[in-house]
Amino acid sequence: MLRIIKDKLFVLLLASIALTGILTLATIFIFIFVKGLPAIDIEFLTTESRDFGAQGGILYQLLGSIIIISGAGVVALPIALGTAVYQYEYINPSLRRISNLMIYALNGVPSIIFGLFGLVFFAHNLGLGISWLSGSLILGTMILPTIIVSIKESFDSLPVIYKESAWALGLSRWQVIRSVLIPQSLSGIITGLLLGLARAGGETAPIMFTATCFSGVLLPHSFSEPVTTLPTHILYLAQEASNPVTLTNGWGASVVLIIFICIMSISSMIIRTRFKTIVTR
Amino acid sequence: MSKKELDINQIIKISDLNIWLNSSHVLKDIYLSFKEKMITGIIGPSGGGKTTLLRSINRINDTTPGFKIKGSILFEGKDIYSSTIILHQLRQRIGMIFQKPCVLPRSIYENVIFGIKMTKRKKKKVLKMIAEEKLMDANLWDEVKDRLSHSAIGLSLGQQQRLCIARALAVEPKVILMDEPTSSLDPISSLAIEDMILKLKERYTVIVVTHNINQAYKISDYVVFISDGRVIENGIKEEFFNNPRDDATQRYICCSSNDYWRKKGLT
Repeated sequence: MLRIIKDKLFVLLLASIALTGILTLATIFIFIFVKGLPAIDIEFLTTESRDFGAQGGILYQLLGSIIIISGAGVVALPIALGTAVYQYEYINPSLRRISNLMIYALNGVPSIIFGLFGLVFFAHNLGLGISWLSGSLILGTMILPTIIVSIKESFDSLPVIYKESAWALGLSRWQVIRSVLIPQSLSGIITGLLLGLARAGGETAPIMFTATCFSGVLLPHSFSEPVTTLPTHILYLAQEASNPVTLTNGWGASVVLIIFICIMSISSMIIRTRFKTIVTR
Repeated sequence: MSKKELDINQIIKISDLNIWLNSSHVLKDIYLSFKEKMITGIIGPSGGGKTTLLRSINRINDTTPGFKIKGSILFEGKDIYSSTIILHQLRQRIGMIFQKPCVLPRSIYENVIFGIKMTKRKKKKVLKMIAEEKLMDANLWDEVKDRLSHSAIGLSLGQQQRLCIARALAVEPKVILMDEPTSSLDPISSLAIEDMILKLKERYTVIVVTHNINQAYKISDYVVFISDGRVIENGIKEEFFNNPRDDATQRYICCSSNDYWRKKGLT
């Protein structure tokens, strides 16, 4: 009898802890949505920002975010894939440990440091200037660990019999990677990419002074022009506490940013669970 | 322990082989040779080292952690563990069928030509011909000829294993290693595969590891009994089953299953 009571109490305890976490998240979401929804209408989503954010919308911020994270994905994906394959197939165990350490260390670097590094290295030393290219490069560097770890997990979960069957047919190492390892890990690769992009989409510090500027920019016309992005726009609007309309627009931009990132995160989750490319009997 | 060696047509010759897996001495002082275009059955209790021996012949064990080898395995006179051997070329000549069939989630046709599409670079028409020929050799053509573009995952386990065999045959190896090819399958599929193995003898050398004494009796020309890492006895099938020299052999082949092979009798 006592055991049953203890059991029920334990479940209750766990449920309340879980509920706390979910409620916290829900509260944040609801808060932001309530404050931001009044700002959102068709005009908001499809026109440019005017009057220092008090009027108009966030069209170019949205486009700017899309441009900069697409660039980050294009930069990061090949490097992440190459690193993961090289780590998995070609290096000896002690080197593998060291490179793992470096990847996790990279993941722990504060985002403002990425911003500074991007400014000094990409913008100044490489002469790329304050541009969306610099921003994409630094964001790409930042999301490398996320993508690499996801791809490696995917590689590790591939049953060894797949590779052994390919080896037994006389395929060379590279052929096995190309025809078995990578195709069978496709869902992990895409998941990693989407998670990385979701993270990149929300970052402010790395691109704040390497890639963005607030006014005077719509769409970049070349590699060396800056863009305006959602997170940096929100940062700017938040600092205009005196004008309530501007503030509301800031909340509106926050809502759009959250939805944007949620779409990517949820897509990555769906792809991971539904499109597993290994079917077992 | 017999060191009987046949002098003619030895396509694989194993001398003084010792293998360790993670410091466990799995195979001890193995001397064996395999005759060309013969079917050799390797039998013995679980954990005795049969599968390790098989996997060392096409060097799939190379990536197993803690693998250490001493001694030599000669294939067509050349030591396969020498540094001049190119692994993937070796494995194109020594193929392997695994216990659990492993087909890719692609069409049946794609699976059959998987081994040769990249490595041999033939024209599409030739590939189609080879696919048909090997599916026929594997006794699978009639069942799949109308649905070559369907996914291979939809096949039954027995069909998948035959598909794996067709895939391995497409590479045209000289030797085919089979690691308990029917132990995951139902009796009817097993029978179909046993019949197919008998026909393979005309063109390929086959080495089969099996737990099934009846199967070993049915398909082998030559039998090897391995227990606790050593070759206890080996010989031509008739001699092996009728007059086993070693007590251990006698006990193993008589206590397993129901002596069905004995009831079949030898003339």
